[in-house]
Order: sequence, then structure tokens, then C-alpha cells
Amino acid sequence: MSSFWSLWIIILTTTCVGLVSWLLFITNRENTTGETTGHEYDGIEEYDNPMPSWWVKMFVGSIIFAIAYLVIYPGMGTYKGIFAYISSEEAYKDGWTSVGQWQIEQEAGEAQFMQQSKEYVAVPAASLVENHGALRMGRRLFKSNCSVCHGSDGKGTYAFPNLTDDVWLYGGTEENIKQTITYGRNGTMPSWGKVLGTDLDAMAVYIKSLNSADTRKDAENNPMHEKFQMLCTACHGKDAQGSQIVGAPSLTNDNWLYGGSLAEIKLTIDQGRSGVMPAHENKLSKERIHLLTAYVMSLSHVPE
Amino acid sequence: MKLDHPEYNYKVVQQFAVMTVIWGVVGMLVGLTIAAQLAWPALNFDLPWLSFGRLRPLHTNTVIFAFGGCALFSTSLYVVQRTCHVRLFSDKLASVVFWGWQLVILLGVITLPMGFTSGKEYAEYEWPIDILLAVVWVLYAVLFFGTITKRRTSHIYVANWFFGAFIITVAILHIVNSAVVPVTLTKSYSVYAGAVDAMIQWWYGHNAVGFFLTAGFLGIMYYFVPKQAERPVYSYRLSIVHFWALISVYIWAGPHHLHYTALPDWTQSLGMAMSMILLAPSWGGMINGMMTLSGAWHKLRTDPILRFLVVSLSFYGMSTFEGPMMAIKTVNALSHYTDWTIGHVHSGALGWVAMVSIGAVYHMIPLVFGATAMYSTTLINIHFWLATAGTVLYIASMWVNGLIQGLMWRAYNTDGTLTYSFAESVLASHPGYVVRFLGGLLFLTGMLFMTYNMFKTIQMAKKNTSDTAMEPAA
Repeated sequence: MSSFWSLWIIILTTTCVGLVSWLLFITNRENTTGETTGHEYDGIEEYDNPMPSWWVKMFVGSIIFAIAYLVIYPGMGTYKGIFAYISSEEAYKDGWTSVGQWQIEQEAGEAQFMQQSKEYVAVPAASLVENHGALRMGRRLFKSNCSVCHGSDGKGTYAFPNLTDDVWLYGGTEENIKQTITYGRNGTMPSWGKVLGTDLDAMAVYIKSLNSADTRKDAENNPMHEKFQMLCTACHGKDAQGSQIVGAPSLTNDNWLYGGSLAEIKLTIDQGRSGVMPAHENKLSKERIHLLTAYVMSLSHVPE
Repeated sequence: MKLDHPEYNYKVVQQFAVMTVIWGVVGMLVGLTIAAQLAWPALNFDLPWLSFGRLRPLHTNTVIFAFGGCALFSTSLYVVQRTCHVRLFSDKLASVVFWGWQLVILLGVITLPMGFTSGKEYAEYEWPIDILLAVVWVLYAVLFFGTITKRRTSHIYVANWFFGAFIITVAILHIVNSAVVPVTLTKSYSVYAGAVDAMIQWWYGHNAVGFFLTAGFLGIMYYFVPKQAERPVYSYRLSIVHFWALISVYIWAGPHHLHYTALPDWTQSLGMAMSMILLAPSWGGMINGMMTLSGAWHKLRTDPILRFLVVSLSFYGMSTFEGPMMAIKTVNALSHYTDWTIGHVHSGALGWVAMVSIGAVYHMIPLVFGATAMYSTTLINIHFWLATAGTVLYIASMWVNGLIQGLMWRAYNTDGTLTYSFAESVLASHPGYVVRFLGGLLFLTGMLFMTYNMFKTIQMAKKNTSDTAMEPAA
């Protein structure tokens, strides 16, 4: 802010508060008659009564409060206030700021967190899946950061993976899960509608037939088998087992991210899908991701 | 029955008074719908135009500008004639203002559910409607001040100071905040960016409350309270001090809507300091209204219209105390973004704005239509209790919800993690949402009684006039 605007703010503020105080003072000083003023509008008259003294005192009190506040805190343009002399906090060395207040609270919370998580961070996440203290912290982090998509029970929903089963798009090892949380994932199924044309329906039926061992054994005789080998195996693999490297799901079980009805399968093939797990690298510390990993692993490694 | 002061233009007052009640019912019905949606989300019915996001601006705009606006138009145009002892200076202009305002509201009622919005709270109308609104508003200013200039009284009555301040400031607020770059007929972008845009928006938003919903309605209070109580206004000098203090301090307080945001710290602190000074000027109006009743308190026993006016003043006092408290950063850190804010707004909107308007309309309707009194005093009384109970249920449930949410959101464990997830606070808020819905239902039911009572009174008045016409000349 330039010194002109700073001065502008100071002058406007003091003028406004000054005029209001002046008006209050001179109006309060004059004696009242207790009679009506002599004006009359549509039968309404006005008494010349004093302003209640408690109200005047409250008014003066609020003005004093405001002035004191603007001396202590920033408010008058570039003037920083005297809070730096009142507080010993390093964050307030140039006067009170909301960022400073945030930092102090943040640091206090972080210090507590680091203290409590110290022993858990020292060991692999996989060894914490039955550690109640670590899981309690992990669960709290999960509720604040993950439950919006994956649900507070971690069971996911349409388009958001269930974390409590043993089906993993990108792998379920400690390293895989940490990778997923830290850097996020982009699960892309391209659209095949134009390529397949009139074969779309038949392809959907074929894909559904891969679900169970019973129907799968006739797969090779299906006229779509060849097309599947040509178009889909690059990601889903020759035997449709999927690939955790690209995050392509296995098509040989009944586990579906976007629904397993013929209509949903058809939609997936026709228009493709795009699933995003956001990266938390800049949002959560390594220690927090470590605890989250332990908690996510515990969801699918439920002890007896 | 002969009209009281047939020389005044009562037609525009009648039109706006009737529309006050009708738009009140419409706006509150939309409000009740979205209250129900918050308690039972299935009521969004997966229809875009019925979804909360589109109906919420429809509710706010309809209750503020349609219900509150019509109440202000009808009362100000009534009061200015009665206290200046002169007819409106142009009947044509009055008619243009009425129909112009109805057109603005109607366009809003159509476009907001269609999803056309400028995205600015309480200013969602897109730019063509904004321009129309500005034009109608300027014509209203010409009509009001034109009449003031023609007045037959030496002084200007205090109610007209407040109406005047409200008219001038709302024009400035609306025009500055709605400055946009139009892209198409239904889409525009604000000319401001970032924190400046936020500040302009809340300078507007806060003063829409300050000048539209406070100064304007204080104008109503200053005429109808002394008139209904048949007592002189308590203190002329209190009027002077609190009027000038109110209008000069209110305009500073907008930044308290943006505590702990990207708004510079100095702006936030200054907004908070000014909000504290605002308490006394706000209370000046309440004191002047309440003290006017000295010597007339017994009338509350028999006069439900006066009850509406007095209770509105109590709610006004409560919410203008609550406002500066919530502007304190420490309190705001708890209350901000919670239902407490919604409760605070409705303590003002239902308890003050709606109640004082209802009282004023009940006072005016028989007078401007030429009836001896309202059709049924019992119905007014029922309306009074429904409105009071509804308001109390509404604000109490939102206080509880606000405290629950604020405390749950900030609670954290010794390990530095948050204790509750957001969804848990939503779950904890559900009972409050149901109670709020019930409160709204009571309030709306009261408005339906009022509608019936109003049309019966008008019917009665028409019958009276035709009876009088048939009587032989004396």
C-alpha cells in the first residue's frame, strides 16, 4: 500500500469516528426540555428527551474499545499496531497478523503430532496394522482427508474403490499404497465406441462372460475373443487378469468400480472412464501418509 | 366508508402492500423448501431447477427484494405522503415503479431456477436484470425525493431520513457491486478480481443488510410504532445521533464477513473495530421505538399489531447485539461458516424485518383500502403467535447447530489430528435442520392466515364503498 492510500485510510477513519463522537458529545451536552419539539407529522410528535445515559456510556465505551483496538492491531493503513511489544511470539515480531496466528496454532498442533507419531514413523507401516495407537491416528486422518470419496468405512462407492477388500488396482503393498497417496493416480479407460461400432453390445456380453470361471471357459469360441485380444490386452492382459502397473482392473472377477451390469459395462467400453486419485504430496506430511498407509492396510488386513 | 385522506395516492400503496404479502408467501415457501432439502436431501428430486443451489438465491432474492422490497415501497410511499402532508408528485411514475419492480422480481423468479446467476450473494441477478433494477430504483428515488421537495411540513420527519438514506445507499451499492463485463445476454464477469471482488461483494452484502434491511425498516418503525401506539416519539435528539452514526458507521463494517481470509489484516481489523462502534447506533432505534411505548404498554394486551411492532424491535435489538459480537474475530473464528450465521440472519429477517413489515401492513391495509379495521383481529393474533414461535424455533435451532458445528470443526486431539470429520458435523446438525423446518412452517402458516385476512379485508372494504355509494346524498 502506498503512503497516500495509508494516509487516506487514516484520515477517513479518524474523521468518521471523530464526527460521530462530536455529534454524540454536543447533542448530549445541551439541556433537554422534556416537551415535544413542536413538529407534527400526520399526528406524530417528538419529545425532546435526553438520550439514555447508559446508552451514551455504551457508545463512548465502544468508541474507546475501537480506538484501543486500532492502536494494538493493524488497521490504520500501513500502521502495524503495538502488538509486537505485547507478545513475545516470534510470529508477531512485526505486529499481529492472521498468518502469524495461524502459524502459531499450526506449529503447536504439528509439535504434538510429531511427538505422538515418532514411534510409529520409525517402523514400517505394515507392522502397524494391529497397533491401536497408530491406527487411531490413521483413522482420524482418514476421516478428514479420505472419507469424502472412499466413505468413512473405507468401503468406497460407485467410481471410488473399496479399500477393505483385497482387490487392488495399483497394488496393495506398503510401497504401492504410499505411492498412490503421495503422487495420486489417473485411471484412464479409453473410449472404444467408435472402434467397435456395431460390435459394442456383443463385446459387453463377452466381457461379462469373463467374470466367472463357468462362462469363461467358452470365451475362446466367442466371436469377440479375437477383438478383445487385439484391443484390450495391452492393458487388461492376454488372460484379462489386468495390470497393476497401468491400473487396469482384472475382468475375471465380479469386482466392479463402475458397476457390473451389462448397461454399465457397455457405457464403460463405449465412452471410457477417467478416475482420479488426487496427489497428497503437498497436502500431507510424510509422517501422515505413513500413518494413513498403515490404516488403509489395516482395513484389508483385518485381524481375527 | 370514506377514505382517510383521499387526496393521497393510495393506489400504489395498495398494490405494493398486496404484493408484499403475496411475495412473502412465495419467498418463504421457497425458503421452507430448501430448509426441507437440507434435512431431507432427496427433496432435490435430482432436478437442476429444484436443487438447493438454485433455489437458495431464489429464496434470498425473493424475500429480500420482493417481500422486503414491496414492504419498503408500500410503506415509504405511504409514509412520505402522510408525513409530508402531500400527494406523491407523479402518479404515472408511481405506476412505472410498481410495474417495473414486479418485472424485476418476475425475471429473477424465472432466471434464477434456470441457473442464470452472476454468483454474487444477494446480487445474483444477471446484468440485464441488474440494469432494469437500477433504472427502476432511480425512478423510485425521483418519486420519493420529488415528493419530499413538495412537502407542506417545514421539517422532514425522521422516518423519511431513514427511507432517504436507504434509497440513496442501495442505489450506490447495487450499481458498484453489479459492475460486470457482459459476455452474452445471460452471462457476465465481475469487473473486480480476487480479494477486491470479495471485499466489494461484502461491502455490498453487509450494507444491503444495513441500508435495505435496517435503515429502510427503521423508517417503517419510526412511523408505524408511534402511530399505532398513539404516542410521541421518545427522543428527537436520539433520532438525530443514531441516524447519522448508523449511516456513517454501517458502511465500514463489511470486512467482518471476511475474517481470516485473503483480505488484508488491516481491513479485517478496521471492519471489526467499526462493527463494535455500530452497536450503540443500532440500538438507538430500538430504544427510541421501545421508549415511545411508555404510557402505552397496556395497549399490547389488546392490540396484536402493536405486538408485532414491539416484538420486532426486541428481535432487532437482539440481532444488532449479536452482529457486533459475531464481528469480533475470536467469536467469528467459532461462528463463521456455521448455521449460527444463518440463525443470526433470520433473527433479523424473520424477527425484525418480517415482523415490522407485517405490523405495518396490518396497520395500512384497512386505511388504504377504506375498511374500518382488519377483517379479523383473532387471525392477526394467531399470526402473531405463529410468527413468534416460528422465529424462536428457527433461531434457537440454528444457534445450537452453529455451536455444534463450530466446536466440532475446531476440535482436535492431542496428536494434532481433527477429532471429527465434516460428515459427522452434518449428521449432528440434522435434528436442528428438522426443528428449523418446523419453525419455517409455522412462520409460513402465519403468512397464509395474513393472506386470507388481507383479502377478506379488501373484500369488506369494496362492499363498504359500494354501500356508501348507494346511500342517498345527505
